[in-house]
Amino acid sequence: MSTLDIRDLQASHGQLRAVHGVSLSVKPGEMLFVLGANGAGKTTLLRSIAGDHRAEAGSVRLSGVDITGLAAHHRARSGLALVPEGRRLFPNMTVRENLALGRSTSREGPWTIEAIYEAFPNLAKLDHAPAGKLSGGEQQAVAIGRALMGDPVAIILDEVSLGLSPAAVDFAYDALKRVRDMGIALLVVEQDLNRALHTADDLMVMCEGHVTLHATPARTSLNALAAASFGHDEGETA
Amino acid sequence: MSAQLVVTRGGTTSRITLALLAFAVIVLAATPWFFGVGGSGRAVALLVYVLLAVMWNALAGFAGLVSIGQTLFFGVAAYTTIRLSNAGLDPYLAILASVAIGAVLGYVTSLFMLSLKDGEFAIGMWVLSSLAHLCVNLDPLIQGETGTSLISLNGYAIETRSSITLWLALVLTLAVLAALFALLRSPTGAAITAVRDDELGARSIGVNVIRTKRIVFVLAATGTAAAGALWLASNLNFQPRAFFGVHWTAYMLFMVLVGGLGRIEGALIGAVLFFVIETFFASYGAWYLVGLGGVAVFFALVLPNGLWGWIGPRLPGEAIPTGYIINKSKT
Amino acid sequence: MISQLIGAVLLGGYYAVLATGLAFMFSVMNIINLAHGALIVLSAYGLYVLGGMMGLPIAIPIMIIVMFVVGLALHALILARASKGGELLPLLATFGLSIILDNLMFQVFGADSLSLAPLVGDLSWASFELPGFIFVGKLSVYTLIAAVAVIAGLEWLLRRTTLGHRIQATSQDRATARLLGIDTARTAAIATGLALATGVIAATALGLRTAWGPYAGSAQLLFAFEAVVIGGMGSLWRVLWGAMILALAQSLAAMIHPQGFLIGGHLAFLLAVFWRLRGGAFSLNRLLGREVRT
Repeated sequence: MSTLDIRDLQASHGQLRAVHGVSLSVKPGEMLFVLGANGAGKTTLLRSIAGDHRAEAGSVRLSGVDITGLAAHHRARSGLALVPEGRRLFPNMTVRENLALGRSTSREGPWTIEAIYEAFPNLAKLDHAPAGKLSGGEQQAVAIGRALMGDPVAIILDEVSLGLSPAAVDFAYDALKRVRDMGIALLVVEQDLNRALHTADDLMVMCEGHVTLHATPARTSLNALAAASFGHDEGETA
Repeated sequence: MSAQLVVTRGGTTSRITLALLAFAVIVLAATPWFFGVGGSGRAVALLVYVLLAVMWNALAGFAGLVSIGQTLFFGVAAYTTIRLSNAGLDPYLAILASVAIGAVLGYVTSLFMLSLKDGEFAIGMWVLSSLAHLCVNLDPLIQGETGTSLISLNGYAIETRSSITLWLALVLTLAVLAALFALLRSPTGAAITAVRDDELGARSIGVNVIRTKRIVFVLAATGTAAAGALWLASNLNFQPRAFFGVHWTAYMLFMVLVGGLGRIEGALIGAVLFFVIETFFASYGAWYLVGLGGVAVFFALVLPNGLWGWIGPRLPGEAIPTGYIINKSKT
Repeated sequence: MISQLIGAVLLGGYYAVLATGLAFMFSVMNIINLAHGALIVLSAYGLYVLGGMMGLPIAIPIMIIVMFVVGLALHALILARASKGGELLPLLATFGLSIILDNLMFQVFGADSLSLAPLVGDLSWASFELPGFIFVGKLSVYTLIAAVAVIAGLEWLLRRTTLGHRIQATSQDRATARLLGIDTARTAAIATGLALATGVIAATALGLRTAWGPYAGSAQLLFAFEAVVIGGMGSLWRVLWGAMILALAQSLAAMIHPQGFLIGGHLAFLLAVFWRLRGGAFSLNRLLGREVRT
């Protein structure tokens, strides 16, 4: 059974439809990448799944339970975490306080602040540092840690590598692979096609609100991904 | 077959509105002959409400500035009218001079108050109004809350006086309305509308937001000053509390919220409605104010676009056209 | 002169307790509650009625609970709805609410001035004697202590507790707070309740130090607002300094002219506004040391 199961999701900004009936599913321990150019509707899709944006039609199921009608904070409490674009930490709170806020889901699970520090050893020494003073890579680690603190079954990440140094991106993906190995379903939006091709278990490309390509890495190529990003169908849609 | 765009600024609805307004102006102008001195007094009250509503609406609806202290201009204009006529100026000239003083005061105030945001601006204006109120109370001519009267107006016979006051009120109201209308239809008007709809967006396309807000603020100060001086001419007595009192702000809030924020038509409807309600319910004292507050809160929460927000979209075209109508005509 | 100075500092304590609720509400909800003064006066009437029945020491905690619940209701019925409609509607709605409350209190309690002083024996005029024949009123000393306690309590809550962190998260970035599982509506309602609960302390001080009438709210709102603007931002402690400067300016002006008391406060407010024009770095948004996101 899929952890995250989206059926025919539609969402708009005012009169402008941003997401046209997108369906996807992510299994436990699977990493699905959503790719596409700016304005393809990726962020709106993620926000609609997380309940931060109202979907017009379609359904969202988490571990088989329909959460379409739930408000964002109830979805989070059901085990769906979103790491937003730009990390969105609370800059004047410390790393520890930011991580502790992740516990707001009130879910039972293995994660404690100490466990996060074990998983991300570089955060331990930043315990009392204000989150606003951290580097982009450190902030991304805190943001992922904050999501884990809520003991989610699925994590959605928007623009993971945006604004990070190459070393920080490597570090972030190392962390994400470990999260995946714990059996958490990951839905990742990424601009870096090459990175996606080498990391993903499954790939989706969106253009103007439609899915233009859906394939496993083995069955597609960098060129096909790039073409699909601009809406050119190369006959590889699943 | 090529489609051509025809740009117009009016339509049937606006012609009917213009006819209605012209009719209202004629009736108001003829009030002294039909309804006598008492009728003229009520007509001035209506015009003062129209001025206050239209000006507060311009400020809140177009410039996004909620002011609790527009009584600053209302009260100061009444006070300067008293002072100038006490110094020997003809009372009607004193009124006109006070309107000009209101404009200057508006400009000076705008230099520092417009740097305040939202709620800070709202109460900041209230502080200024309160400061002016306290200073006026210090004037030996006013004697604190005792107040004084516009005695020199007694130089005119009562019928003459009430008629002149009414006609002056009519002229000033029309002038202010015309100025606002012209402003909204000018290029600056497009900037004002842009700021109203999306301040950040307007800034990003190069609209000078502070300048735009300042123009509206000074116009609102001028119109509100005119209302204060006219209210004095109509009621003769100047007691500071009756002019600087926060109940005026409650009236403005009621008229604008009920009529419709951000539309001239809404302010006009709100003023007329308030005039009618006041005529029938003012004798209920504090309960009347509870009712006004309650209705205003209800509109703010449930119908934030007011009555005009409901009526306007149901009419073909705009009643008071400030935008452009673009039609595709096939030739 | 020294006794006037001490008097001004103690008066500042009253303004601080008055302003803390307003500043707290602004910092966590981005709403300037124009009904703040009217709600404090409402609390004072509540204390008057309950205090007459069961004494002030019991009436105060009961009123704190009552006003906390009123705050929850205020948020649910008015603020939550109004703040969805942009920055203007909360101002319009809370101003409308203050008009309703002022006039309702006039209808219910009449125009008479009331006082809580008879409920506390000689407290409202008893004083401590300092060396040099300087007398300071016990009540104003207790008010200052209460102000410091309220500010310290709220600061501790905001910075050291889970609830406080959730309140900060809600005020700084509501969408992200929700995505973390925080019930932002409930958090904001609790914050409103807390702001109104601190208003009960202010109401106690108001009712003990002066007689008040149904329309006293607007003056209290202006004092509170001036203290917040003069104090500037960074933490609630600055409200305390702003309140002291306000009281000093008023006392100074009253020495110059017998009717200068209020004028002095307003002028201090204007100076603060001018200062900010010059400095530019000072805004209500900094109340929690909040930086503009870069």
